[in-house]
Amino acid sequence: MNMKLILAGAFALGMSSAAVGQSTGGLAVDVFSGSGAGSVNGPAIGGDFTSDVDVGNVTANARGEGATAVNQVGSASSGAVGGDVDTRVRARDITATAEGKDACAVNQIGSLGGLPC
Amino acid sequence: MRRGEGVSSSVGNTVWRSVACGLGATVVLTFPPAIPDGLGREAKAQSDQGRSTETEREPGSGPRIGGDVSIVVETGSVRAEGPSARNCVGSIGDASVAGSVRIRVNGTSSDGRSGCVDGREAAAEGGSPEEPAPR
Repeated sequence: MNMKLILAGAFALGMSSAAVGQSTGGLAVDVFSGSGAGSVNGPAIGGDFTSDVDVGNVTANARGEGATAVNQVGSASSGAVGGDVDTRVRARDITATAEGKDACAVNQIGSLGGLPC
Repeated sequence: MRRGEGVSSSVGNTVWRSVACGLGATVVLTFPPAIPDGLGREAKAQSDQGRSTETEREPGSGPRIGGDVSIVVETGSVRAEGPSARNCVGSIGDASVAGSVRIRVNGTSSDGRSGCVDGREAAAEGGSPEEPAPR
C-alpha cells in the first residue's frame, strides 16, 4: 500500500501522515516546538512514506531558559514505516540558534532519527 | 384508629423519605461542583503526563523503517549557533532501517550516520555549503 496525501502549502504543526508535501516559503520557529512540512512523528504506517518538500529558509531560534525550537521538514523522528521511505527536500539557508540555559534548537531536514531536544 | 395510625405511620414514612431524599439531594447537589473540579484537574495532570511521556524518548528509539530509505536534500548554507543548536540534514541517526539506505546531500553521497551536527562540528568539518539551493 502506498499512502499518499497531498498537503497543499502545508506548514501544519504536529502533522502526522504519509505524505507528499509541497511547500513554498520558509519555516521559522521561535521557542516552541512543532513539526513542519512532510514529516511524520509517531504513526505506524503500513506502506511507504513519500515526501517531496520545497521550502525557503529554515530557522529555529531558541532563546531563553529551557526554550526549545524544532523544525522538521521531510523527516521522521519516531514511529514505524512498514515500506520504503523516499523523501526529497529543497531548502535554502538553514539556521539553528540556541541561547540561554538548556535552550535547544534543532532543524531536522530530510532526516530520520530521534530529536536531540 | 388503626386506619389513623396507619395514616400517621404512612405520613411518618413519607416525612422520613422526604428527609432522606432531601439529604440525598443535598449531598448530590453539594458534591458535584467539587468532584468534577478535582477530577478535571487530575485528568489534566494525567494527560500532561501522557504527552510528556510521548515526547520524552529513550536513546535509540528513532523511527523503524521496514523497507529502503532514499533521501535527497539540497540546501543553501547550514549554520548552528549555541551549544545546543543542531542541524540534522540527510541523517538517519538512531533510526532502524531494514533495507538499503541511499542519501545524497547537495550531490554528495552519505551514509547518514553522522547524525545531527552542531556549530563546533560544522566548523571542524570545514563549514557548511554556502551555495544556495537550486530552485
